Amino acid sequence: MNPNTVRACAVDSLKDGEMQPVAGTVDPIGIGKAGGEWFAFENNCTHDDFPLTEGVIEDAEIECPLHGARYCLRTGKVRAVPATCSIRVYPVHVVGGDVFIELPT
Amino acid sequence: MPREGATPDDAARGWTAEAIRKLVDVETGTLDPRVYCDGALYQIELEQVFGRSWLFLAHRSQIPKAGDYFTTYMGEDPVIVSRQKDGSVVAFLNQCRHRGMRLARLDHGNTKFFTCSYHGWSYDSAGRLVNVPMEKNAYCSKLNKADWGAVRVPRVEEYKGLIFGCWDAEVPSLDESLGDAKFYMDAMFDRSDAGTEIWGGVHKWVIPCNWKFASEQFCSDMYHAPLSHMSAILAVMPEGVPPEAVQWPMEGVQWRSDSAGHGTGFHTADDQGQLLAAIVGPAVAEYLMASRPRVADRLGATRTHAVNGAHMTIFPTCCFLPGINTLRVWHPRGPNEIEVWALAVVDADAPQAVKDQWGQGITRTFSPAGMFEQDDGENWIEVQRVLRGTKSRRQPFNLQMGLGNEQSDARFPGKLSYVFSEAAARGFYTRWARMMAGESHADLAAPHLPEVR
Repeated sequence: MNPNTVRACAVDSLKDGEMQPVAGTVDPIGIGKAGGEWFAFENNCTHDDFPLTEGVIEDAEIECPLHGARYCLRTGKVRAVPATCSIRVYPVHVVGGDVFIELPT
Repeated sequence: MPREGATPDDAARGWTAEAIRKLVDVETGTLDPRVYCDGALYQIELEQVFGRSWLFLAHRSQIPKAGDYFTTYMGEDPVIVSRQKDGSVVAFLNQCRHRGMRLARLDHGNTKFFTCSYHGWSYDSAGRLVNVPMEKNAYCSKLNKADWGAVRVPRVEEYKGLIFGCWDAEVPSLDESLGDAKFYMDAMFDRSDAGTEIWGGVHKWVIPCNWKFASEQFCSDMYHAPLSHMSAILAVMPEGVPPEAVQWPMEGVQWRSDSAGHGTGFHTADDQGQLLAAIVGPAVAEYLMASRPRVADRLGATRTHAVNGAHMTIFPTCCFLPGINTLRVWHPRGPNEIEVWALAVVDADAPQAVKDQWGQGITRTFSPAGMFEQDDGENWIEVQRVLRGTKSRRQPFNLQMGLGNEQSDARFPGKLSYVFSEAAARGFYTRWARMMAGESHADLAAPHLPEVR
């Protein structure tokens, strides 16, 4: 595993369709679960700077609750305007009972 | 006459408090019908009556979960009623503070944020402004979002599942404002710990009449029922019933609030649920009859057996028929029009089959196409049309029924009359006139003057 890895949460702390901000990172990062899959992503809508963890996660996609911008959680690419810039996404590893995020070195 | 293009404030200037009080004369038992059709009076009503009264917003079962919201009106003002994370209820004007656009466009839903569809200002479920597009670039981060939240309804309180709001922070508590009305409301809303819930959605329709025709009738008017509704009653009766089976009962009581404008009336003779069986359905009547022992343990025998076929108004516009269980609000739309919003109330702990028959029975009788509803709407609409005439609107209406004949009955609290009376209507219009004349809440708490002096 990449040495720059942080623990995001416990495996049982989120149910499917739930998200939360990750504590203690420099840039805002969100962790969420959808369709049995874990996703870590830049927790800020590039349209107008708002935490995406307040929105909706579904089918590897996240939607901002304010103006409906959507992003692919596998690539970070914009799926729906008004956002036009993609978000960063991060690899996730489940080890034992914990969920880890791999940050760029 | 107000000049063309006059503002509401200008239009109201023709009416002094003294002139308004003279519209309702309880000494002679007469009512000036301009209360129903005068545009200037209507503008005063929106401020003095709808701006200062407790108004029904929603039933608690309509917004059970955090983030649930229901959009309704307080007078002509659209409001959002929203369930918070801590379980409390907040109401705020359904209007963006930026350019006045309606925030929530749906009838109801669940959301964390209300985003204006015009420029995108976003408010949280308590109405706080949380995001403004281009805040850094366009507003240079100088906009103080805390100052620009949606306008809160300062008072929101609940009684037995009914959520009310009031724009006037100084209004006495809902509990105090209801007073003796609670005794009569409980017969519909407090039959068990489970309380009531709304069956189905909200029926909404528009009819061209003044809101006071509808509210007054639910407050005070049993008198119309044996005549206006006879054809509908005959239609719902089982085939082959003899004419004496539809003999209207003569025993009964009417109650009016001392000062608050509320009223109710009902028959005290126990028909064992026969009329309810015909109107809402036999399974509902059977359920109600079977529940009598447990309800009597809770509310006492009087309200279990001696309150039949009741009508009731909580001033100004919250109206219901205990037993039949329609609940409605008349949202005013100018002096000549209302939006009727009708809900079906059922016991939350009734079997589903009973709830369904209850809801369907209410819909069959009291809804846009309801058989009994047609009778009422037709009368209110036609009176309103007649009042377009200049002669017709100068003829005082007769409001004398039961004048000076208030009575007592140890079983029931408050000011009582015979069931066929207009005492509650006189109480309703007196409250209206006192609010319209600008009396303070402290003054309004004093009982109406005696009718016979």
